[in-house]
Amino acid sequence: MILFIADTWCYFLICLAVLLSATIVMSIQSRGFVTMGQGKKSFSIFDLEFPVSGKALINLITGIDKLPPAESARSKRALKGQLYVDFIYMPGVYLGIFLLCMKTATKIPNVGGYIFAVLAWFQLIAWLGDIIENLFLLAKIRNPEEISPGTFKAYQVLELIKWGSALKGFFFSCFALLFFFVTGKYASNPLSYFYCLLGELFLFGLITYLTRKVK
Amino acid sequence: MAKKLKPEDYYNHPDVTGSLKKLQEKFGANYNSLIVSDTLDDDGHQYVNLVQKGGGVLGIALVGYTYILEMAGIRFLRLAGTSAGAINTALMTVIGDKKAMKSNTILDYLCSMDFFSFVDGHPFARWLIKNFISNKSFKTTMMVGFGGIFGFLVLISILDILFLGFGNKYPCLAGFGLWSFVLTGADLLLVLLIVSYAVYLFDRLKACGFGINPGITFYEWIKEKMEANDVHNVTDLKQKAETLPPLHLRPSNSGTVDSLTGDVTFITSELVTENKIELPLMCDLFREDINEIHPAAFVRSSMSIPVFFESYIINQIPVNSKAVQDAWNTHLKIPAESIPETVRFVDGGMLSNFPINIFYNPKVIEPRLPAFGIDLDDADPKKNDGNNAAQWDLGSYIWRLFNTVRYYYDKDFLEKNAVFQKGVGSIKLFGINWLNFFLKDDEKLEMFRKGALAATAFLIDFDWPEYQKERIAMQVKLNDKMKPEN
Repeated sequence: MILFIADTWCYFLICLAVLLSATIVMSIQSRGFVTMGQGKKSFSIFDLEFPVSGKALINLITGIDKLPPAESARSKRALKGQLYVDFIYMPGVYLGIFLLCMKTATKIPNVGGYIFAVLAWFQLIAWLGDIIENLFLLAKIRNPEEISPGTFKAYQVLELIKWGSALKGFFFSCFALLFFFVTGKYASNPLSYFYCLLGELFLFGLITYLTRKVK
Repeated sequence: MAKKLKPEDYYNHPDVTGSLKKLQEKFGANYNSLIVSDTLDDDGHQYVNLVQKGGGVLGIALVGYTYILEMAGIRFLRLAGTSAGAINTALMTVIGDKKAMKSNTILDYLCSMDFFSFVDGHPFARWLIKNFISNKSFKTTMMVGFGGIFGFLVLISILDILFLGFGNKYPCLAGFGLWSFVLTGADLLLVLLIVSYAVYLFDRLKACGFGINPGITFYEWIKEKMEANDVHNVTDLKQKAETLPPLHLRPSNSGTVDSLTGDVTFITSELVTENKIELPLMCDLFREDINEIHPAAFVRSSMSIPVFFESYIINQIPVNSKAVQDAWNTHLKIPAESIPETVRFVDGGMLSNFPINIFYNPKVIEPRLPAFGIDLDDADPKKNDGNNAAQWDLGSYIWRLFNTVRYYYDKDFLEKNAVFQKGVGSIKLFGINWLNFFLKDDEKLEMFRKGALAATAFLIDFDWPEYQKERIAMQVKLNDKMKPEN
């Protein structure tokens, strides 16, 4: 259950690079998300992930078709594009958190280690959930037919599992690793990886700033 | 499970039947000696104009009031209302013809309606509104909850430091330190989720034009009721409102019925051009073919309580159309180049919650029928915070500013034309929150009962000859003032 992975931090940095690159592309795409309610309004991917009801989800999707043709096509292209890029984003985020949790599991003896190992394996379930979610949304964009209450309930549960697993895995493992960091319980070679991580984050911040007006 | 109320439970309430009995004792079994108007139909119904005030769910009391008026043989020629008053006005217009009694059908609609379904916003917003309005200790519970989460974060951070410090001296504490850190992460996650969710909801609110509830359920409901009564478009609505039975005047009245017309008016506030809009009268401002807009939209726009409901928006106004340009010039004196492509409506109560002024016709000297008004008064009769005006908190101060501005328009008219006040009956509804869409059946019944009692008291006191006399005197005095030599 607990995997000892050599060069965990190297793999983590690769995942982070994938995740951050995809985030830049997706945030640019999300600026084009527009739909028609009573009037034209922007929306975010969270409105699709946590809709008020199945009807609200369908209204949001069909609202895109009510925009002027050029704008509608642009908005739909951006939305579909983001869902496709999300497939690249997924391995970055879920494998990244998987590695963080598994690394933590190897550092904690007894039950504690197993708790983090379970959290790590849950990331694969979250990943699967995210894939199902994207396929469902793409299908609804193609054919926005009514969603049954049962399907909508299952969709909500899927979202809760996905977000719950990922957030818990990330926060719990980060804070556990922070404990090992401040108590000095780490090998010296990961420090070079830490500097690389800071470099990646700096680069991400810089590119995000430079592309803040790109649509 | 409590039994669902039926219309009979409302009109068979002892106070309601008692009210009718009281009126019969005073005016006769068929209310024959009750005189409120000089305009009559062949069945002996007396006609009045009626304006109904807005007030959220307090509008149920309006039905109790109109039920008594109708039972006493009073019918309505011209109708006007704002917000909740617009809802009752719309239903009274579309149900049956002018002679028909409407309140029974409206009660039927009320009994089968789930008020809470009108609060059709995000489930979290629904939960929050419900608890804030119906649970008095909710605010304290929320404060304790937030305090607990943030307090725990402070406490656990202190423990982190202590475990770290003592961990060097007592290695057995190191394990506790690790889990203390993990708990810090868990609490911080909770805080971040709360903050992120609050930011997300605010962004959502912004994207929805700062309205919590879309109001789609209400729109669909009122549309369904209109269509069930054969009102499918604005022309149908106008026709219903204008079609009158044969009318005649009491012999004592020197006027004629020729110029009497029926109509309906819903008041709404338009934010783009900053105007009071009377619908359906002014609906030609927005479309060449007025039937492109469903009349349900007029009621929906009149009851768009700011923030509680999304504003009602009409897009794609054909600004280049000659007919539309003429309408803007006629109604609002707005030139063609200033006509907006989109208009945004909020609750008519922002400008005129009690639009009795629309029934004032300066050409009439001797009135043929009175203008009745139903006022909803939820003010605390014991509260008089004028003595501590200097100590109001910010909320009270802003609320007073807001009320002073929004009430003045109607108040000014009534002060200058005091005779109209004689046609106004007031329903005292202190203690019921006007935004409480989670009303229990007994609360609905109580409001209906209060409406019925207020109507009874009003009819007993109303003196038509005196009203007529004062209205004539007022107009003669005004006409004198208007003479060139004055």
